[in-house]
Amino acid sequence: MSKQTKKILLIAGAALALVAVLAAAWFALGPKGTAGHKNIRVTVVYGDASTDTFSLSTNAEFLRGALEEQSLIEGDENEYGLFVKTVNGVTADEANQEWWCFTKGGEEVLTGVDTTPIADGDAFEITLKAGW
Amino acid sequence: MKKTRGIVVAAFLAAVLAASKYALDGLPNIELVSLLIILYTLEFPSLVFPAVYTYLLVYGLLNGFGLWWFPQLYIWALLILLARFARENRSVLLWALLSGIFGLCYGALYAVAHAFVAGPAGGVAYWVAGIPFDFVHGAGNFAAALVLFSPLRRCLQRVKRAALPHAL
Repeated sequence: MSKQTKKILLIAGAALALVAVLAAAWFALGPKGTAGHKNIRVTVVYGDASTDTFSLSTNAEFLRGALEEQSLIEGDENEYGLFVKTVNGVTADEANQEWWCFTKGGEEVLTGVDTTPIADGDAFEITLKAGW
Repeated sequence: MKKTRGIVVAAFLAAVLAASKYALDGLPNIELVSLLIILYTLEFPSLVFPAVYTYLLVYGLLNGFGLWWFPQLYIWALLILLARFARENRSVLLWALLSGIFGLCYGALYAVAHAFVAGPAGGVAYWVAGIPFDFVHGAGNFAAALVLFSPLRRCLQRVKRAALPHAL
């Protein structure tokens, strides 16, 4: 076996090992929704600090599904799912560096709406923020 | 004159990076930037850093300098260093494998910067959420390099012969 072939096999092996590590990480740590009926609360906080609270009853496993069932969110699809631009008809003005911040019980949600699992009794806040 | 030619060629290489990025922007994590940067490193070793950072500046000016932009400052530099390290390699398959591995690692490299902003848990969450796209990125990089490495390299060699004859 030539040196070149050995090198290719070694790098191919490393690539396969990396694929295995990524797959294992995805299955171990990836988002997992739970089936069944849930009641969740969503509070929308607008730029003038006024709020609307919605009680949602859903079978969706992830936040996006629950919010879209009520037509509460719209946005653009990107590589991480839906990038939310509009909440309850209010669109974040990118020219003013506005964006929608998702929190759960006051704690920042680190996943997008597509991969944020929901459970019965969850309370989310969606707040219009200004400044990146 | 040599310096002027170098500046012009670096600007051209940056423009090609930007054009390729925009052309494929609609396809998540399918890009030619990785392959082009590898080829620039091989064919224009002294111009690759100016070209890549000019491209990043232009891309930031056109899209805003959000948090998403900053990790690219070190991610592409790492790819250049990887390509320099492997520059003696003559196998297209090996370059395709290296480009694929880089695509698989892209999310993790990106998540390092995210961890500084959102904490280690935030960095891990960011990385894990993007793993399906890392698979797409790795496969896309592998396929793109396998098919386009040789033809694009020949194109760049023609550019080098025409624009930078003193570099040969």
